[in-house]
Amino acid sequence: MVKKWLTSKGQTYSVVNLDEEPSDVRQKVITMSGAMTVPVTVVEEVENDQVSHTDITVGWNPAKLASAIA
Amino acid sequence: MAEQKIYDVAMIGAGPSALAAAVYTTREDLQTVLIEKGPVGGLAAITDLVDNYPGFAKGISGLELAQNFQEQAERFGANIEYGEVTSIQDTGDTKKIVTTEGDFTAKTILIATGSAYKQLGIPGEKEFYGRGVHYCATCDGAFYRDRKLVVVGGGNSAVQEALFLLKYATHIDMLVRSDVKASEVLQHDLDKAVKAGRITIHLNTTTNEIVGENNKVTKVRATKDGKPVEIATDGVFVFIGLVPNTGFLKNTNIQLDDRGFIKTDINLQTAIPGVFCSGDVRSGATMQIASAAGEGATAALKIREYLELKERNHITPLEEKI
Repeated sequence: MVKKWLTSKGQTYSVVNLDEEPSDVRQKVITMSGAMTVPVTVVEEVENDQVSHTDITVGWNPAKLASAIA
Repeated sequence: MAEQKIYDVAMIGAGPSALAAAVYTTREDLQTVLIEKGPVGGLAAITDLVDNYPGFAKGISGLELAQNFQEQAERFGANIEYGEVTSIQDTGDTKKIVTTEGDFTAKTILIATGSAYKQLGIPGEKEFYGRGVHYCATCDGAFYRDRKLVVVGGGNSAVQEALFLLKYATHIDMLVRSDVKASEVLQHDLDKAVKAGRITIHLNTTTNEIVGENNKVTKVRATKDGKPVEIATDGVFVFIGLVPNTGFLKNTNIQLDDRGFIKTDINLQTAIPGVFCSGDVRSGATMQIASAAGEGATAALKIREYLELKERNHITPLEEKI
């Protein structure tokens, strides 16, 4: 759902499948999002090769995703 | 997303019932929009394995089935929009659908909003929602690899989801208010898991409270055979039935049954002419993907009939009183 939505908005993304990742990656997602639920979408704004802003959306929330990529 | 366009039919929801209906309406060249607030495919999309949908001899994952439904409907021109419907208004020849993302206008409406998993309504449930309390095993099960879990419920969904969660969890305690009421096939698999020591079933057990420390669930308090018990756990998955998604119909003339499901006549039309209903949200629904899809197809044909009669100014009254 999120992937289709991002594609429809012309965004590029990478996918992390927690099913296939070691436990430290799951822990990282829990720490970042404060939740134990998916999907978690991390939108990073990059300036001069540095991440200048990070926005995290938990669950399917197109309104929040839209503001994150605006 | 708000548009001035007048659709022939606006479908509220984009689960199997609406998507099946959309295949029919779009093939009939009816301008169709589906408005969805959650994942396309509804609860079917978050079901691990659908083993009883005709045509898939080996079963199919819920997500794949939902994607197939969507692809097929979109192939014929169905337009899926995202937003939460807050109300519908009957404005005579057309209906207005008010959503969080803007309004839509349509000649007819199909309500196919389905159901949501029922909550326990006990202390700790809201507090730990998404952080130890869950309603979707396929979504959140991976967070519990090598952990201990509690599953609340004893119906088909509870058993199926508990069996799925064994992929991750070391052990599951199933808390069942009365008795396990699952199909023979599921019961057989459950018996195997119990014999293997992976699942413990607690019958006659009422779940009273979900307890945690430092933002983590640690245990569940329950009453088993009238006596208080505590069960240590890392997370709780709740599957105790379904509630209809009808909150947005509060101020309409649409009639609901005593459980909140929408009443329809034999044409799947509600008490408001031109507003139809199909799938799990309909009073009398069997809560099966196959029947939801079938009702969607029926509703689509009835909508076409309604529009044709309306075009010729020959609207007939409801054939059967609701």
